[in-house]
Amino acid sequence: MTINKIRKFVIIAIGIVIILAIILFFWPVLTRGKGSIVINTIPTGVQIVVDDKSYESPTKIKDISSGRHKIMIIKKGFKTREDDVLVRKNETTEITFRLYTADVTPTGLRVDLEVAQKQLSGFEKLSGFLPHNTSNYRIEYQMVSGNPSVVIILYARLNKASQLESFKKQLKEYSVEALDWISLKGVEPDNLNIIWRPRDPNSI
Amino acid sequence: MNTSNKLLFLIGFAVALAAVSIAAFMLSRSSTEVKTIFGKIPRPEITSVTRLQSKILSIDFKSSDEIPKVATVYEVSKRGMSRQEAAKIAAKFGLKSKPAGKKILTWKEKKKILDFNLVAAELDFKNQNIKPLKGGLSVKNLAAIAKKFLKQKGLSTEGLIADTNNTRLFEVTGTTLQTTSKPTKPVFIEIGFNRKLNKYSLFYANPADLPVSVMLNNKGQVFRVLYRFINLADSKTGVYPTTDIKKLTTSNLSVFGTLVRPQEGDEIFDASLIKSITFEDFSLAYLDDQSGPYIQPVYILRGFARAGTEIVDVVVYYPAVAEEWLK
Repeated sequence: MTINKIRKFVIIAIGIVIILAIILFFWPVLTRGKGSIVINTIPTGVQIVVDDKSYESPTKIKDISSGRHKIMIIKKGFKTREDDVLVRKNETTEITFRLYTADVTPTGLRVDLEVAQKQLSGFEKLSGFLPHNTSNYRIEYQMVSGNPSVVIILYARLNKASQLESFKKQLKEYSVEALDWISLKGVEPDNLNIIWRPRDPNSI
Repeated sequence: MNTSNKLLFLIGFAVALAAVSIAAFMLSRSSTEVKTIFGKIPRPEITSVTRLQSKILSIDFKSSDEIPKVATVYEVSKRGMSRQEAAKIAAKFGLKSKPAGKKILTWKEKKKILDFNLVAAELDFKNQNIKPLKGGLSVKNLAAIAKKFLKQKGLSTEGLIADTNNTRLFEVTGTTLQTTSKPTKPVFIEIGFNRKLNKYSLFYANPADLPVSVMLNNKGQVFRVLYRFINLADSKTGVYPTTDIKKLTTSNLSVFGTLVRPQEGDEIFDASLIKSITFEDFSLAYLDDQSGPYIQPVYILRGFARAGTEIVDVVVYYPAVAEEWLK
């Protein structure tokens, strides 16, 4: 083998190694798909920052790239929480974060306990009537990420962009109907962990 | 400025700098100086509804709170109150008749009732002449009035902080008081006070028990006072090293931790049904077990428990004084 041939061989080998290294480095990006993430928090109505974008809990983020994402949960009076969440390709990852008050006091813990008691008694009162179906909504009991929840499914329709306004109006109307039905059963909706599907009409 | 003045200025500056450095060093040293003057102290005595050993425990702390390496331990100068002390306080409430009872003294005069638990050093005063009212409430003003009322009755307000964010409203139904979030009838507002020791909150065996609460109507007329006395030997405090909670193991937690929520009577959940508990948060606090000779620092561990499909909030007390200083 001549020196030239050896030199050529070494250059080609180095070239292949470099190309392989580049492919390996970008492999996760090249093969990355998209997934969804549903974020619930206890309490609800909390600011969630995912990859520098802000949302309010509970929320569903669709078409988010698969892989690890940094999540920060912020609420005044509570300890800020930071976590990594793994989103899998073509899957919906559902996760619940619990927040803890920044200042731990007997008065604060007592209020937490009362909220929990009210939630539990609310679930107990409602459980005999669920699931409840109408043409506009369905109310059912579900464990969502390990938390007892009342899921309200609103049958509002959105097939094309021109229906958006009427869709929003339907969501609001149906949600009021559903909450009225819960109140009629002697349960205060504020005391329940309510999951809205497709989404919380109050956030529109 | 001539040369000698410049020199004097430089020397003065150097001396000032040295003095500040020495002061800072002494301060930092004194804040971490251990004074285990009580020797080994007993662990807090708390009765738990269930033993943690029977549960599957996991620790996944999300808290990044910095915990001091040392913490103050307070000696209680005395437990309980004497009849004479109770009578003196009763007189401040305008009650001068002879009380009924032995361990719990009861005064009743002109629709005013005072129960004084001499063993637990707690008083419960009710003035049934005061009626609930409808109308707006200025929580901050009422909190100030409540504190002033305590002072007028000779009850110490040192370290007491009104929690104006977590007040409760009560409606009167017959002879009972019921909490309400949306009142339809006249109400009393309850101002809860937390007691701070060395900037940390003081807890009792039940973490939802308050040191002081005052119930009043929106005109600031006091209907009820619940007050727990604390008698600290001010001159005698120890400084003990703390346990590094970030290194807590589940085996230590299961042996030395005390589950205090759920509590018996919480009517929220049967603690015996709990299978597994995850702890996510820790905070430093003080615990008065109302029996031992000391008020000592504890960690409040918060998390959630699973029992089948149910989830429930959990609170555990864990001694904060380093293991080698506990009996």
